Amino acid sequence: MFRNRLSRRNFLKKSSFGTLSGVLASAELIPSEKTSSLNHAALEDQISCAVIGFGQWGREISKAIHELEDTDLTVICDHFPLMLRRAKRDFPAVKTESDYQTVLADESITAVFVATPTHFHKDIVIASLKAGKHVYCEAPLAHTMEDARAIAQAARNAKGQIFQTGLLYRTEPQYRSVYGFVRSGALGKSSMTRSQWHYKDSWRRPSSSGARAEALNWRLDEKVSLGLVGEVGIQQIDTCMWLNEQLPVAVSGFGHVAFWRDGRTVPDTIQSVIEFPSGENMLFDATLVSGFDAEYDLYFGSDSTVILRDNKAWMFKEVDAPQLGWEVYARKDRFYKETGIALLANATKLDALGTDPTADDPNAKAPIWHAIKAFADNFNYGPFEPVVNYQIAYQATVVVIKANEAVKTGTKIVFKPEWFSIDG
Amino acid sequence: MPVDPAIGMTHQDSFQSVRLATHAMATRFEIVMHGDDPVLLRSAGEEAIREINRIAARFSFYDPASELSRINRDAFDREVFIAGDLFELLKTCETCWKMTTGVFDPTIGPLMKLWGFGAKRTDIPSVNDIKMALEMTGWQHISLDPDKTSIRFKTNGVKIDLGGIAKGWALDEATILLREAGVTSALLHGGTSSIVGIGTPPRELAWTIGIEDPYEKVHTPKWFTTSDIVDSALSVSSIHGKSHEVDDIEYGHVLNPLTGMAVSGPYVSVVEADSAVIADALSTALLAGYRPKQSHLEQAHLKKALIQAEVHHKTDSGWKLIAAK
Repeated sequence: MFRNRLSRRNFLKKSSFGTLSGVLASAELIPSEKTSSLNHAALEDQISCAVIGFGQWGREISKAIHELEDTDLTVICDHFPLMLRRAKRDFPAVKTESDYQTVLADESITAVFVATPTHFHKDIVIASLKAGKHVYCEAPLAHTMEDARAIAQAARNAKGQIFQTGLLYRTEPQYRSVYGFVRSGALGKSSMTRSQWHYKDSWRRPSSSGARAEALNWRLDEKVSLGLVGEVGIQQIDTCMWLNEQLPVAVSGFGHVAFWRDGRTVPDTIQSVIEFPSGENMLFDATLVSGFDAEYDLYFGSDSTVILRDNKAWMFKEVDAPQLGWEVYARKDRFYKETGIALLANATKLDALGTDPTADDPNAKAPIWHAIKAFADNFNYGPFEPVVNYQIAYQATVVVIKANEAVKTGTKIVFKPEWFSIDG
Repeated sequence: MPVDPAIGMTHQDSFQSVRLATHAMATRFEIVMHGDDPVLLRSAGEEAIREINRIAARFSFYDPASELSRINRDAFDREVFIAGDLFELLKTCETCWKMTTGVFDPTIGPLMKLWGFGAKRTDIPSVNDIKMALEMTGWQHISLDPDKTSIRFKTNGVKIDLGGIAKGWALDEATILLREAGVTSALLHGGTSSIVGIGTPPRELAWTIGIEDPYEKVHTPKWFTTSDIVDSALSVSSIHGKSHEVDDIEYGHVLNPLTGMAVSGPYVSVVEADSAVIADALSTALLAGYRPKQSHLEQAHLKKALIQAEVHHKTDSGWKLIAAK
């Protein structure tokens, strides 16, 4: 159970993908795949997967597992019957189960995807690792430092088992391409990052049952919720930590209930400043009051600024910046009075395949698809250290736990180095 | 619970009303709900709106990364495995195609492209071009495997476009979510042409839907007719809008997949059914020549089918009831 066997099919694949681990570990571009002629039924070595938690995100994870040829969606587990009915409708051939312990006792299950509310992660992840399963855990790892540490320690101790977390952009091809671009110095001297997440929504989930509604609305329970900065912001904050290649030194925050005055105490609007040792600070704001301008990240530098939006990226150059050799051929898009140069993750590859690199990529996949593909590749062609391992996940979780504290108290918190240590 | 008026809820006696909207499938979807718990109504409506947006993204004919585009790209080369709900929708397409003996057909993409309703033109396609497009048109080119929930195209060049019924499907799915959340009074519509009524409005016996004359230019709407619905769906189809006028004949964007010709009349049809997806499919088919048999009323949970009787659009000659329970 602990280690994948190298099947004939995987051996053949491995022979032709000899450098795959290098691809995953570096900022190289992940090629746009041509859909294989193999189909689900023809595969001998699909990874048998269980999804625990079939809420909105569990449904997206299940869909990606179902689409991938390397993975078999075998069981969906949720303790609410309504969710299991929905699961059965989406995936008629999949087994449903209400008790995760039963799933873990099933030896045919190889990998477990944990998509429950954050405060349930610890028990399920640790039990899954103990049961010998490979584990994919949604981010953040946990709602407390103690729980996050317990998970990270368990993952570290589970030798030979994959533990990957859902910090999605580290496995997303476009973001990986931008990582290489930024780290090559194309921004000039980096100055700061500004990120936002705007979505008009009450963040409340409906149920005709009071008890069920309470359980569903854990994000609005300040005892267990990491709020907008933790539950949503962790993706963009982790991306900034990754691109900056630094851990932050301090975090400040503000938040209030601006609009959804329905008795909640978890802010619907927040701002946070994350300070890095180099001074390239990140400003992050999130609101449930306005959907204007949605979600994007801006990385500012003395030569250019990069915007990441909808899994696409553009570069805006300063007039005094040196010209880059390739930019005259690149696609340009207008943004009000600015011209953005499109940064395409796989332009060269598409060109070689005879596909117009400026057209929308027909093989474009959601970030969760790429995350699960990386997990499956690790199983089939590894072992290698996951791009989003327990250490990275733990550090990002610590940052957002403290950021949420800063938002709740309206204060500045200076990070102690020992907080980032899994052993305390 | 006290309600902040800023949240956009209105108070009518003991009932509260909550309204939400979204842009999806190139149109506006709207939900109006009544009840005594506006917080529940709002959260239920948001879940329904999220589902509508999700369906719009998955079933888009134009987004190359959508699930539907993946089928259209790959299903001739190989078997494509699809999610259970999309398979259910394609089975519904097959049922409607059989019931209408091919008049409702989501594979009319090549014909639609040939007629080019996106741009104005002064002629109609040649017989030869129509014949070529017809060779790639027809649900008989589609093979569905219920055991594997998979699809395969038997003919190269076939494309499925769910534009005719995706709105209805999205409304049906949104309705399921609203009912599961305990909503008992709501009206949902997509672009005002696909409508679902849950229960009744407060102190009313039914949701009364007015069907507007698409050619009436004055500001006051002129109602062709009205339809009262309770726990059912209504779909209105019209050839007006995207159409070509050639030799004083209006060729609308509804096509007969058996002949390849655009429909020039009747120009409005209305279908009431238990589900919006069935209503959508059959209202389109009515314009293209389908006439329901009595047995279809039971089979499709069809309640009523109407068409505007006059063929030429410049004459209003009243309504013809095609079938009714």
